[in-house]
Amino acid sequence: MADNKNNLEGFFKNRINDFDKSTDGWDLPNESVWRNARNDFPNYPQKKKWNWKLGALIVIVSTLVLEGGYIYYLKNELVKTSKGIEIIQGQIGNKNNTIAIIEKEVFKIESELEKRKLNKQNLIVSPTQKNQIPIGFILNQDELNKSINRGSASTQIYLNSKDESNSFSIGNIETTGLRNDFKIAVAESTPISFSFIEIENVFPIKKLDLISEYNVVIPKLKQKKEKFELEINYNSLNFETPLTYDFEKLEKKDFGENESSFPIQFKGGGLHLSYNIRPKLWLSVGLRRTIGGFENIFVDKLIYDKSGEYIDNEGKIINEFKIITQTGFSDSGSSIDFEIPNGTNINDGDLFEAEWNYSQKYKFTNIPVGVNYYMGNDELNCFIKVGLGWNKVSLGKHFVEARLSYDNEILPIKRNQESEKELSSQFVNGFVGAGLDYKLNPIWNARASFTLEKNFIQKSEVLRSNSTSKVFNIGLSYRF
Amino acid sequence: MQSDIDLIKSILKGKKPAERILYERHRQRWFRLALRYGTSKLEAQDIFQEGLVSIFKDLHQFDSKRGEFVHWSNRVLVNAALRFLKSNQWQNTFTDLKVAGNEQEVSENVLDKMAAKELVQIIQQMPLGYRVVFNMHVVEGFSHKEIAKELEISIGTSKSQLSKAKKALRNMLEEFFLNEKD
Repeated sequence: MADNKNNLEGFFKNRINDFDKSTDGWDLPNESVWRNARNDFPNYPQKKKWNWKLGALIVIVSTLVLEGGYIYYLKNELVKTSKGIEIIQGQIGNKNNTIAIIEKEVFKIESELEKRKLNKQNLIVSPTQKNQIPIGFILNQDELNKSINRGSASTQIYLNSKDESNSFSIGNIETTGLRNDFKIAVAESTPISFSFIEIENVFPIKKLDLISEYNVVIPKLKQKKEKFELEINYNSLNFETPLTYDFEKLEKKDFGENESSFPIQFKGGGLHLSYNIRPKLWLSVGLRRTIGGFENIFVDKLIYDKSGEYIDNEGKIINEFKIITQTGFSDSGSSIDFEIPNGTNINDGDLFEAEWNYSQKYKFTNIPVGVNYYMGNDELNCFIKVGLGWNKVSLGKHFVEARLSYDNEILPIKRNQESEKELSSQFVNGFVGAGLDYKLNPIWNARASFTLEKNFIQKSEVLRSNSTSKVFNIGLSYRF
Repeated sequence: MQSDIDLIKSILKGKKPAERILYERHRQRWFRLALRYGTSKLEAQDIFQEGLVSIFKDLHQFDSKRGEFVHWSNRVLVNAALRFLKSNQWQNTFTDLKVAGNEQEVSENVLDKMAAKELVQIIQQMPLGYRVVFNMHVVEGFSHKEIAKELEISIGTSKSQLSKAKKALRNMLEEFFLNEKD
């Protein structure tokens, strides 16, 4: 019965949904039903289609209108600018004439001075002493600084003798930032032209009021600021490196400590390129290449080990000793073969005399990146520097020379085995230093500094401790 | 071919042609459902039209994550059919009628000869209560609990109606074949 029940239900379900056998349209609604129903369908909001053609047209038209407007604006501006240029050109023409006159007069003055080889001291204008000065003089900044009466409302400068009619006053002159490299010139003409002549390319006077009727021309020159600096320097570097040594079969009580520290002196040169990032603050990157090395002699007693003996082709008894020396940078190993002369009887455990002389060369490359901060005046500055550096130390071959003796009898050396490979070690250091910087002229500076460098050498079996190096640096820098 | 979901998305974006495509795709299934709930093609068309409007009005409520569109639309159409029937022929629908005869087995040979059209015609001849419960349970797959809730009757009544519907159906099938032989 259950089967029959399932049979009936399953049959109905399947057969009713059997759509393949519909042929006469008995199970399709009339078209009118669709039409009627469709009227009651909701109108879902139709998303507006972006009319790209219209959009493109709008963009093009807008662009043309804006471009047209902008061109019109530019034309007007051009007209205005052209008029302005004409006016300025007129003014420049006038000023050029004046400047030409002054330049001519200055040339005359300088030529005259050269001829007369006048001592500049004679040209100092001193309001207090009221020294006589000739018409036509050149005054450098030092002299001007001495001559002007700072803090007063004005300074009387006499151009000729004490003739009041032939003098003028400079009032409210601000000399902040005045440099040495310009001159003051007064021309021998009436009216007298007075000008600060730019010698280099800086005109530092900020304000100058002349209480006179003299024709004053102050050329407005753009102050040039040096942004880069290239320094070439000499370095003396003292590298305090730990040294450990470990001779096989060593009688340590005679030898003493097996770890010590000794300095390695490096000398060399370098370059620094700096960029002025803020006033008084320079970012600097450099390259330093120095060469150094050491040579040490040890005299001690070693314990004889008979197991190292062998007979060579000539029938002689040979023994081999190995030497492993470790430095703060890496380890170096070498060995020597020495002969036991006939008749010499050395027993296992006997002590024999040994004199070792070994040396090694190093090459040290350093690339520091840091900042320098300057404090001081225009001429003399002290500065501090701080930064990080990448370092590479290359170790040369380890040379060993040995003299061995037993019971006052020399044990001839048959073979010196030097270390075969050159090793190198890289590490980072941090540095901090201070120094002095003296301006020789607007572009050249002399400099000396002392730097302490802490080398972050990773500790290992070979490298027992960190090292410190002290660097003395002198150099010349060129600013541009 | 666009899927039902793509068509529905297009319709919801206001694309009218998609309505027709969706309609053409399902109209036969939907109309057969309407035929099973009605007593004639005319009545089925009224049910179908009401159901069609409901489907397209509620299209935005269809959630493809919760089931297929076919099942969702069938249920909407059943609801429309029930609404139609309740408003027209619902009085005394679920009173128990005496059904003549015992449960008889209907042979597979008899069933095999029947097409969907004849089956629908037989269903249409069943009393309204039988017809609705039979359709909902056997064809649409409603549980008795769901049927009771939809038709606001007890679960027992639903089961009873189904049982009697099946008996009546068997009788009608037998009668149909006797007439066919004659």
